[in-house]
Amino acid sequence: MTEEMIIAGFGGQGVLSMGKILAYSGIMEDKEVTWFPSYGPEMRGGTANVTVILSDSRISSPIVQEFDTAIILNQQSMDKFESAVKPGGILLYDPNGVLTPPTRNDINIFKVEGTKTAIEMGNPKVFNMIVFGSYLKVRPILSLDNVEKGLEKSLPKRYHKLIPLNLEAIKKGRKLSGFALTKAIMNGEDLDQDQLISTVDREKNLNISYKSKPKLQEIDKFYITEDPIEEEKWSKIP
Amino acid sequence: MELKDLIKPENLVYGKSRLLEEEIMHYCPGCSHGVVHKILAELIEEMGLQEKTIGIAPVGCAVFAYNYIDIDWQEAAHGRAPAVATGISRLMPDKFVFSYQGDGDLASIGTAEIMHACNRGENILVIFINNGIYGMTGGQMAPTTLEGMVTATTPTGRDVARNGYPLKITNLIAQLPGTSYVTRQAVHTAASARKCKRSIKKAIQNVLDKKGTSFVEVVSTCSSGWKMTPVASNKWMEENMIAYYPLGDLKDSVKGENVLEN
Amino acid sequence: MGEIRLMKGNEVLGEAAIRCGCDGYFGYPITPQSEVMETLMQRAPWNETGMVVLQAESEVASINMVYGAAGTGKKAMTSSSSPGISLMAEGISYIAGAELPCLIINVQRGGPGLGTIQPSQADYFQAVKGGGHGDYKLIVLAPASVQEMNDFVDLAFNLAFKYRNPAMILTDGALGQMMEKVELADQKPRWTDEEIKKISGDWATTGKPTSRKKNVITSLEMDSNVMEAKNRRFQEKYKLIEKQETRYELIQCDDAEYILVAFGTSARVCQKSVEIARAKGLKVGLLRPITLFPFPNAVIKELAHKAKGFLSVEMSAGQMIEDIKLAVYEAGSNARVNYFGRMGGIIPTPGEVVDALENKFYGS
Repeated sequence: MTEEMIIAGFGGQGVLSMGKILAYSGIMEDKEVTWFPSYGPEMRGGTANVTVILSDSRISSPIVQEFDTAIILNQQSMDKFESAVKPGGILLYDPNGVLTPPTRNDINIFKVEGTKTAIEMGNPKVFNMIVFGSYLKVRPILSLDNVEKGLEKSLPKRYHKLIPLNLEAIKKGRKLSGFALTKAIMNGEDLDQDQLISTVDREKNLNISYKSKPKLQEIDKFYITEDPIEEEKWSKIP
Repeated sequence: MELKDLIKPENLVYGKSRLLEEEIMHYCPGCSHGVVHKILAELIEEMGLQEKTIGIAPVGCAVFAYNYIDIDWQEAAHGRAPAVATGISRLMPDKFVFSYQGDGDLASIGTAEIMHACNRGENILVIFINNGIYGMTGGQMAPTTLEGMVTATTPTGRDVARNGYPLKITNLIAQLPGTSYVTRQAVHTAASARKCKRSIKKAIQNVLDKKGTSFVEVVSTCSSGWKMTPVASNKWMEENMIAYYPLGDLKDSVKGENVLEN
Repeated sequence: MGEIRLMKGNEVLGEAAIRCGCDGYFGYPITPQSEVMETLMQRAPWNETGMVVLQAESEVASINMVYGAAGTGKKAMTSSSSPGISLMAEGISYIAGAELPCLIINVQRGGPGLGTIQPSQADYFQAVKGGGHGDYKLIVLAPASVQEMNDFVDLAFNLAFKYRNPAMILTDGALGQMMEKVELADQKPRWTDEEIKKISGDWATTGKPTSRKKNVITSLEMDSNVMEAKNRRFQEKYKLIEKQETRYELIQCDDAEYILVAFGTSARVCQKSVEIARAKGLKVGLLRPITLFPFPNAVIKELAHKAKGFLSVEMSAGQMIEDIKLAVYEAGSNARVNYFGRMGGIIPTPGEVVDALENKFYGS
């Protein structure tokens, strides 16, 4: 397994720390990890992005041209990275920062209402953890235990009291992207565009039934092989 | 009575320090370096510091200081002796580390290093030989060259409009809270040499007592550079150099105290 | 197994210094390596191991502090980035001339001049050909991962003391800013005075006891015949280092028709390029020099008889290619030697490298 991803948004949106949590969780999962930020003037505001690579084997280039996954949190990053997702790859974005939604039809696009949900939770700051949760749902490469450990490791001790809140946000995010879609797939329902999620086929205006026509193998496999034990573990989040 | 009958221990009235090597010094006749070397060797011996001492030789006339005193030495790049001393002293805080620098080395190319070492209050002794000229390279203008003084690069005399003013760097050093003892001495007479020795002894003791940087300027002659006889140099120094760089303690305090003088 | 952490390359350099028993770090802030000193200051190793960490007033001062500290026979180091290393050139030459063991880290950025703060490898010549005045060599290690950033600190000190020669870790902003999984070494104690006496007693300035002659550290000689003899001895030493310490890694070179040669960050990129090229059916391998001085001449000579060509992939205008050409020439081989690189802070992409490879060798 090798997952090459980019997380991109404004500085201050927690782009680098989301990557760090991901990378640390990967280490807990005994994977090789590389976390490579854009650095320089970007550090002082403006756009920020980080490449995160998780792999079972030695990692080669930190410079990645085509990503398995892109997590996009603002328009500039969408403009820059939508085209950089591998065909068949995943793009998650928070519509709050994105005015022009992505248009590619050869990738899996997940709209995650992170900001909106975070405001509903009363904690706008955790929106990135909600998006992160959605990512973990569509790419189940890390267990909750290890994500929790990753949070512990990557957050300074003085912020450890915020870990339950972050885990709750991650759990919310999983529900946003995961369950609704799963349900849709299982029942053969049409997808609700506002609620999320995916476009495999833009021409059909997102009205796709996965049951009838699962275009992408990856998605198909993932949702059908939902692991009930793992779900139970996830549901124990305080 | 023959001469050999006189050479007996009981007749000994003066001996050189055993730390002064059996080397013929390369210094010119009348140069102050030799006297200051002698004082240092004597004090290191008298204070039992040979095993504790590391000296830093500069680039300048004293570049071969390490040939003359039997202690461990490091030869620094031009102006960097205080940084080298910092490296040694920080890693071996119980040793006695001193830098030995001339005016070109300390007050021109090494201004940043001396200022910051003194400002950090490095526990070192700085010996600063100020003869108002670059001796080794053949008598060019130093930052301390007096106004109107003729050198190889100021053939018509130092013009302050072109070259700026003679730098009283010791006065600046005295204002840094990191220094504890800052003094200006000379060695052109027996009395002044004895007084200078007392000052350097006090400075060394300060270093041993970890009081911060001690700084001893020695206003010196450079008969070759000044193109004068040794005797004339001493006279000229008294009348001109010491007039501009008056002798005496500029600061005698403890590290951390900010004493504004002059 | 040592402690596993996720760390930036720069942070690891600081951590590894503490753990290998380094005695003193002297540095001056400069992007993109400031985290080295920041990490050290946060760790406050003076409480734990007694290691000294000091922020100097300039790079000039830091390298001269290293000179002084290294002269005591202890493990001293500094780190900087390209412009700062240029400022240190004089001091490095003195250190090489006085044969002092120490570690200098260059986390390179784009140049010339103030340049950029993005990663570069344009200080290759400066690092391997000398950089300062006079005929001298540094032992130059080029890590390609955060793990190697960790491992090479201890290795560099070992080599520096083995040969009484300054060692350099030549890395770049990408590896400095990148976080990877790293297994840290266990804490080694700093050398005791007795150990230092044993290892460096015949030259270190630790204060002269009556039992030995004074130790004088200097690079000055008045007699040019003596200086020439000293230089000859240095050259012999460098030859010995070439013979004994050349390190490199070969990736899929056994059947390779064309060989990419790259170090550090560009070697990581090229690893991927090899994968891409192999997937296209191109027989491509990678030679990754780990020591840049000594340069892996011997293996290039060997490969030059098997491979049709070499592509030097650099984050510079083509510096290492000169050493490759020399080795191929010495091998009497007709293998072609080409260059591909990016400059000014840009890292080549794996695809770009493959394109260059195809353009230059496959005539597509």
